[in-house]
Amino acid sequence: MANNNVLTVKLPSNFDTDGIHDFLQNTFDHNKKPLERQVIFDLEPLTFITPSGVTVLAIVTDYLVDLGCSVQYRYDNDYNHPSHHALKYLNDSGYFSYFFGRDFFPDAQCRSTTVPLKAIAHEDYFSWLTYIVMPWLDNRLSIKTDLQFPEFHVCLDEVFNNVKDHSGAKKAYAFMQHFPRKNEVHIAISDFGIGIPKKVRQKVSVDDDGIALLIAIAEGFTTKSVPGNRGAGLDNLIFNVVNNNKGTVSILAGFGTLHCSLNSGNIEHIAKKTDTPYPGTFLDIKIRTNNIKDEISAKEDFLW
Amino acid sequence: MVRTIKLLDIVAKCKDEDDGKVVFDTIKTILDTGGEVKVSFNGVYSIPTSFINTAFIELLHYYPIEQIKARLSFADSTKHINESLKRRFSFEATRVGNKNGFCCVN
Repeated sequence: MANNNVLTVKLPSNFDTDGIHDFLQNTFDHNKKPLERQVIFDLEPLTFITPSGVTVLAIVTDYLVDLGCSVQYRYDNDYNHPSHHALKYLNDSGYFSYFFGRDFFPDAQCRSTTVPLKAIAHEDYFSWLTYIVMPWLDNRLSIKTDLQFPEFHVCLDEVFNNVKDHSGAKKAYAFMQHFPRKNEVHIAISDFGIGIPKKVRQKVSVDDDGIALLIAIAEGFTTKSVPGNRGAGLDNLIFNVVNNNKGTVSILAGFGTLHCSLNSGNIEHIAKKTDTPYPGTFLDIKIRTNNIKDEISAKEDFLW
Repeated sequence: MVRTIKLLDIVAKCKDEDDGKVVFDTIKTILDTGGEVKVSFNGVYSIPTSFINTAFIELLHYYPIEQIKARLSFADSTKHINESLKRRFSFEATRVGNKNGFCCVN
């Protein structure tokens, strides 16, 4: 709703990947233009938020601020308010200290199950991965991630190389959380660059953005001609996460969504066209942690 | 004579096409002079496709796959790296292409 050029956007009660499109529809038009230049995000309805919700809220706020919009948050700091737990989670993710330079609750504490929210520029990716993410996962899972869980490493490499090579964006937001009871790590990453479907349309004519995503992940399809880009990154990401790890990959980009999971031993791709666009590319990756090798793999010879 | 290249002696990481370009230039220099190359992955446990493509697959633009198989080998590898290399080489080497054995599918 808009009133005197101030747009109040209520967050959904459960802000997960499924709630992203409604949230965006209430904030932007289909051309990525804010509906108003003064925006209040109403956090009071929020009772649960996931890494997906945290990442999208962050990148939307970042984008609006970059455009010179005014962004405010409405929240209730009563500890008994239904939104308190979700606000605390958001706070502990590093969200408020990132955007406001201070936490909203005095007892803020980065949770050991999460890697704090961060905007990662290309040049910062390697140090973030090496000094923050990998040690975190080593500690969470009591493994040597490099040696025992290469799929995790490759997954992040492929995502960030795609951001660097294709999106036109200078950074991507990332937030991840370990869910030990579910044996999963959830990774949410987003840029507000050109978006995969628009890149695909630079090469092929396709109206349906869901189909554009299917085209994009096909091995061999590439929109760039430099040696590093041969149309293998997204295919490799999905192969490692879904086929090798038995995890899932969901992509939201443009007017399309794609969900990849294992079904009867084969990678199943479910592509859909949406009424509301995602103004960039968003990945929701769920990696399983209960099928990691116990032993460190021995060296293996390569045979052609 | 086989020249051994330890990747982490010539690049700090094996993460992207910039890293791959350094490796490619080193390998190609040796191959162009008639030599053979053994690439050691010592200390490397995973490689993304950008790196593989730039460091190794790009060689298909200059040499047919049979020559690459005969003159390029890999050592100190892992099952995961080997699988990644094979997937990439298998796909790219079978693309219908120009006289050097490679071009875009479209």
